[in-house]
Amino acid sequence: MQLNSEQIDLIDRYLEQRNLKFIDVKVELIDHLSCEIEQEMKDNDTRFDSAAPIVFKRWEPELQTKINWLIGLKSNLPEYVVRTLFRKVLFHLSFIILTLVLTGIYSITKNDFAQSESMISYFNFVVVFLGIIYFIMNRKISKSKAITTYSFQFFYFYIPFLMLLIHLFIIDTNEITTFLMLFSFLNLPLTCYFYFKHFQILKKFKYEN
Amino acid sequence: MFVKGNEINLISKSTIMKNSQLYKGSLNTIIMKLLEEKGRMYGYEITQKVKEITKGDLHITEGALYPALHKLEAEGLLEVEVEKVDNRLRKYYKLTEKGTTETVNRLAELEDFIKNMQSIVNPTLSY
Repeated sequence: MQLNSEQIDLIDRYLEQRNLKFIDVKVELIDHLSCEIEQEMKDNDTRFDSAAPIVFKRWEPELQTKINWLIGLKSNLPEYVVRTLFRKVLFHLSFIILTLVLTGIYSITKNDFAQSESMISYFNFVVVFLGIIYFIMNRKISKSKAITTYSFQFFYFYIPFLMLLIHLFIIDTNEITTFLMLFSFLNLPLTCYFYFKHFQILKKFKYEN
Repeated sequence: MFVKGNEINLISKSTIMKNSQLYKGSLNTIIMKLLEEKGRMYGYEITQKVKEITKGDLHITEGALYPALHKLEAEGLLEVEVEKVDNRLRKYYKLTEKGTTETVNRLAELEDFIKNMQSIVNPTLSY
């Protein structure tokens, strides 16, 4: 008992209504829900119209939308997605703590070399260079046809870098700039990873630009 | 018995005394063992296979299964193949080379654990 394209679309719309837009999660859930509905139809010898509401009801607690302040106050997402993203956000926060510790170490041990004019100019150059890389990646990822949990992570990490760029034009090198700069340095490999994983998923799921 | 947590949700229908915590550390090994036997599987298939093997006694919920699969994939132990099946996309998981080696290690570790538990719980029975 296979579901047809219209029935699959209906499941897709059901998940969309619950703000499930990350395709890496959605594709897997569409298949899982479809399998459960097909099994329900087979076991009880019923039609899609009767089987689907039973399965949807079973999934209701997982797909109930909620706001998590750590993930974003504007993001009203299903419980299932919030749980997935929450782990990623915790990872992100541990990264900020690591940077804070490194900044603390820097401010205790800082010397004249780090404060010298040539060093500040060098830092500024690196920040601008990183800014260009981030900006190009940001533009490309923004134009994607779909969003993934990796693009979510990319944008989550992107914000401190924008702060750094703004900060750079307002105040001279100090602890805040050091923190943001260290964050950007440490952040770059991860951001690149999220960027490539995002496009890898789009390619696998045939959502290419 | 139903235990809800970030890491694992396992439902045991038959014995109310069954402690899901005992299964918590074994979920990844269960998944890897199944994939070693079957080659590649998709999420729903794994839940059904576990249910079938344990005669419905153990049910892995999707809330536990998918995070475990994604974690194993991120660790490089599993790889994903996407195929269009029955009008929809399906994600198949299979062991990587690293995953195959790790499965052998984890199974040996689990067998040791069972053996030691057996010695403690029922010393008169030889394993």
